[in-house]
Amino acid sequence: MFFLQIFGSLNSSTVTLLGTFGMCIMAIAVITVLVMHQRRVFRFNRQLHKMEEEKQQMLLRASIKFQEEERSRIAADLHDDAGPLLATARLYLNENLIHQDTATQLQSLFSAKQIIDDSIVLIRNISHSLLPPTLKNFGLEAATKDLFDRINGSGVINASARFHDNRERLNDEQELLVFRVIQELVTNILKHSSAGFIHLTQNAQGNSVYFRIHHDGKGILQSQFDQLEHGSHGLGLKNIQSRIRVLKGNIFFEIDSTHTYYKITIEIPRTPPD
Amino acid sequence: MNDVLSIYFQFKHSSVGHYLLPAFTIMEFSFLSYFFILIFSKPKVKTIIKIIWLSFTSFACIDYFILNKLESLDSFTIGIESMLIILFAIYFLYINLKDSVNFSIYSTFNFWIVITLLLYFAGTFFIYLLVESNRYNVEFRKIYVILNSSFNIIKNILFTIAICMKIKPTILDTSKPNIDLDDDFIINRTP
Repeated sequence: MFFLQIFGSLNSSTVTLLGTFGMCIMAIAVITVLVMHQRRVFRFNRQLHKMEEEKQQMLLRASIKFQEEERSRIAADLHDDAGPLLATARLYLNENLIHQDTATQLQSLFSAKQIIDDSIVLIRNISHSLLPPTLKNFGLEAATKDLFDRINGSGVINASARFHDNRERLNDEQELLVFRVIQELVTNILKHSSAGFIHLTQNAQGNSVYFRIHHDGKGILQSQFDQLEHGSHGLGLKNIQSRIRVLKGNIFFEIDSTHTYYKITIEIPRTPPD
Repeated sequence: MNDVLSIYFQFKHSSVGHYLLPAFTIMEFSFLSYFFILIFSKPKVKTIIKIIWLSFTSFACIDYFILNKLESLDSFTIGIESMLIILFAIYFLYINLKDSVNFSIYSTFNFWIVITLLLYFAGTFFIYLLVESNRYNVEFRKIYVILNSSFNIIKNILFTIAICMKIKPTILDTSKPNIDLDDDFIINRTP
């Protein structure tokens, strides 16, 4: 009533001005709310980006640490195993050998030969652990099957691998990275899950190649993987994630609906998206 | 072009302009409704806009030809039109407020068009609503010219910005692999 009385006493021009002013305020308020919300969204996105960068840094550090550990392991293998073996061989082949009788000379030469053979095997094993020759010569399928055969051969666990569509192979670099991821996953399963079987399936669809590992042991789910990957531990998982990132792929940790086995699915694009 | 034509008819053919104004309101609302139908993605919203458009057009025709008999300016119809466009614009902005997580709405040309419509129709709502009842009021006419021209200028500037904007599509692909790799596993497990 009060407002009606006020409006009644005002002329049309004032009502128009006041009304227009009010409507403009309303329109500007709506736009301001929208702009402020957008700013908040941008701030949130910036924070997310920062977190992503930190995560990348963490993965990079983990990768460097892993490389250093790998180097230390190779150094230890060479120093502790190959070094003493070769030193022993050298002892057998010292200068005094020519002053000894033929039987002793033959014995020394035989022992030195044995030690050198052992050293060759040892160095070959180190070399194989660095880059499996099967992978280099015959590709991912052969190398994976070889890996699973060797695990199966131990008799501790039932392991099998099956490739369905490997006509269009990944490039050498991608195959090596995928192999390392599979190797790491299998090592983790062997170490932590107490599984009775591991089965790997490969298939392709469109531009992507899929690998799925099933096992019946104690596995992890996606949420746990994310948690472990962000934490200070889980160097292996960080390496898996960084390799998957390099491949521009995805990895999913799941459990089947009957809760009897775990599934790890790796999706790798043949041609990585830009 | 709209403004040039409006001035032309106002000064040269004022009687024709009188008949053209109702047609202009219907055409304007039709174009703007079509624009909103294009920018809204939900089919339900599109249908509602179509129903509103049909109702408004029917109402406008009844108002012009039966109730007013083309004798006066369609202030009331323009008022309803403005309210509807303002409501569509606010709804569009609300939808964007909810969904604009991964892109900047300032970079879309729809945003600038809608902002322009919101400002223009909010600003001219009262002057069009009261223009018919104050046709011979000199003071009101002055205010009308000032406000109408000001909002026309703002509208044209914002439309220019909108035209300059380029739409940048954003693609979010979060699809998980749907290939069934378990079949083989099940076959493999069965002895």
